[in-house]
Amino acid sequence: MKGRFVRLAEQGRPTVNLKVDGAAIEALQGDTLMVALLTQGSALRQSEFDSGRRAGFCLMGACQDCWVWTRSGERLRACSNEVREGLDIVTTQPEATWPLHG
Amino acid sequence: MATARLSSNKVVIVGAGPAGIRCAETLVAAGLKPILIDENRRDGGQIYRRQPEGFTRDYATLYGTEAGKARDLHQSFDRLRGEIDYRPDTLVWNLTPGQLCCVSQGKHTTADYDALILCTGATDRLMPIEGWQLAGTYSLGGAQIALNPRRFPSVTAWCSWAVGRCCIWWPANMLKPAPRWRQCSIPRR
Repeated sequence: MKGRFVRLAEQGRPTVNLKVDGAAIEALQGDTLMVALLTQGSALRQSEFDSGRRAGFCLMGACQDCWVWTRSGERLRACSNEVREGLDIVTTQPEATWPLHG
Repeated sequence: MATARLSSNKVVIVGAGPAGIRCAETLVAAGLKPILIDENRRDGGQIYRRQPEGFTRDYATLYGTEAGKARDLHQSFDRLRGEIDYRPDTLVWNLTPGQLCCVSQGKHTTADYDALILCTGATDRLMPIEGWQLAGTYSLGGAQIALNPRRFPSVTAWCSWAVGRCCIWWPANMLKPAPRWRQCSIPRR
């Protein structure tokens, strides 16, 4: 699966360039980070608590499932933050590594 | 005098969806200037969410059978905008007597209140069927947000397992905005 999300409309927007785990990707202005990441791949990040991957859940800023980070350590909810030119996103939690139970 | 006393009170509304906007409208009509705090960057709440700047779809495309209500709500907010203290992009994370603790753009803020009105809306009630936690399964509210292409513009081509089992809910909510499916996959690890 290349991308979990597929664009169907509103594709004439200007492009925005950002990085995800060091790799350059293109998104469209007005995209949420979730859209930018899930049109490129199937998941947003590794689960802290088991061996699974996470791809968001509620999409409305409530469930805390879609956290990603900037390289400088700022935490962003992918569903409710928009892409910005030059953003440098990492999808692994920088502060801590949790013991996995899964 | 009662009015004068009332208007000196700080009234805070949390949530800028239909309930919060209509609440603000009522308070403004009574001569108050409420503070309206909302986590989203734009008014409208979840169901009547406004599309981001630069997006071009009309009300019928975005809101289907709810187009009239959505337009009316947004116009009401636009009329109110100068009459209220609107604080978008502001998350309320704690409540103490007389004061809300907020965070906006990564910074801590507070808001004092004499009266507080919570217009925080509904949330999903989840039924944890097998597989519900797998990546790519979304809550029904989440699916609706994605499929009514406002916040998740035009990116709507998965079918979550949970949604696939909710054939009663689905047609009613997806009457107009539902796009055609490009793929329908049961999420896998």
